[in-house]
Amino acid sequence: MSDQTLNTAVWGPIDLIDAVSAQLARVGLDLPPIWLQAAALLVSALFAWKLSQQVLLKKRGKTRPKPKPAAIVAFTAFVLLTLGIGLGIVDNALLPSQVVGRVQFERLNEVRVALHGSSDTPISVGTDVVDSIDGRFALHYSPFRDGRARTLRITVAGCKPVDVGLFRPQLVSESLVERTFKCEQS
Amino acid sequence: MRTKLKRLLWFTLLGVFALGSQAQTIELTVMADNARVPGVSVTVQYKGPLREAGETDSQGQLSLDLQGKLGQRVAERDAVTLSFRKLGFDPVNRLFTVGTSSALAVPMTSRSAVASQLTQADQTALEPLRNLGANGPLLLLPYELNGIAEPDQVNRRLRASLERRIVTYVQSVAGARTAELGVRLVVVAGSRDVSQMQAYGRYSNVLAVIGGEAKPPRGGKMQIESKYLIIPKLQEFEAPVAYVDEFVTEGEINSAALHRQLKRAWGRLTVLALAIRDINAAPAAPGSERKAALVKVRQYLGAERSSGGPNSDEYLKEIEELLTYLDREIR
Repeated sequence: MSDQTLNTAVWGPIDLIDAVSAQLARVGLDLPPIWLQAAALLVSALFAWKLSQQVLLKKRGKTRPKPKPAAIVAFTAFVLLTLGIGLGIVDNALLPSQVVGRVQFERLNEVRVALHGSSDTPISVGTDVVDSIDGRFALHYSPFRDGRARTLRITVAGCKPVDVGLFRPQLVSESLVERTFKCEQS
Repeated sequence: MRTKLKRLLWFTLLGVFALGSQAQTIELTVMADNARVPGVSVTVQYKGPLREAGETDSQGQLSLDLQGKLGQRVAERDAVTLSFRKLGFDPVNRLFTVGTSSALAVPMTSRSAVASQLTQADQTALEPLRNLGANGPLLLLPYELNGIAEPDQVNRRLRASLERRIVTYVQSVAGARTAELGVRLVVVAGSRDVSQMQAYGRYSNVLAVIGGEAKPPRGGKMQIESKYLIIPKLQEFEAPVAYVDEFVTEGEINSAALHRQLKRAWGRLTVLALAIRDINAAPAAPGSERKAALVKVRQYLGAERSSGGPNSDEYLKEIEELLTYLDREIR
């Protein structure tokens, strides 16, 4: 199973929104994922609140009619969705903003590295070079604004770029992302 | 009670403030060919644009206040990228993790000094070795094998056997790092005299250079004369130019067990080279971090000194000398 397949198999509400964000970016609407996440959270919370009036609230002096099963299911779904999106946003905000790694290659001065988000655009800020002696690098980004980093792209002039899939547990533990770069002529 | 609480709050706030305002200063030292390099332009980058950090002084040093240059505090365990540029030198980028040390030694390679001793073809052949990482591998120049059948095959056999002899030996020395060790055979056109071999080694940034010649068998034995040059340098210690002579039978040269016939000196010299490399890699500023790094080197050098066996006194004098230097530094 490829890195990409594994990555996309773990769908959560945030990942779903990120996918929508990626599709919007393809048609020219390149918004930072946090805007879409905030909008989705708002809409979902509104629906949950609206449905809660049918399912939970009692009107004063009146007996509440028994809620329809469909309303209960919809209410539960929206509550879960709101919680999912909210937790996802918090989870992203709590992710470390630094990704560290090491590239092995014979010409380290020519290696460039960048983090890419769900819409395949670079999200890392600052440096893109690696240590000339041991190939280590540290890339910084804003997981709250741009969502979690999906891939590490390693490029060397004249060679095909190499993408390394990044996973949430790896980002949380700040473990070293290691890759030996092999130059395939581009 | 209330006053006490107020005091406690103030002290806590002061403590937090003191921690927050702690200077984040790196002492940089730029070296090339065992000499300090002045006038190296240094830039620093964190979560934003590249910032000019200044130039190294006449001692090749620069004291860099990260917070002052970047305009923001670097979080503990976060890394900044430092870039070093000077005309006539290969550019160097170094990663510095805040909180791990306060000093960073930066090795630069002069393009002109070493490269002028090598032909363009030799430079191209050695290029892949240059950035393999902190003087890891050993460079083997093909042996001159006049009058010996299938010289290429013999050279490949010798490379494999030397690598096995060296790596297994170093692995048996507790504490010595073997991760980057390996013997690389690179065909170069230049001569095998000591100064030329030094130039190959310095250009390719390797741990040691091995070269030599083998004479056609006499009385069924082939004599292999090798030179072993340690490339990392230490101001306080002169590494020997080592000569290792082996006698192997014609049949043994193609045997998988050839490494067992090779002398112990190969391993011991490599331990010596690793020690010089590790001493150079220790933080330059005196303090607990430097001491801890030197203690590690002392441990495996001490283990090497006390390892007995036949011919165990070869290069023992050099090990003793290095241990004396380490003891002086550690105490």
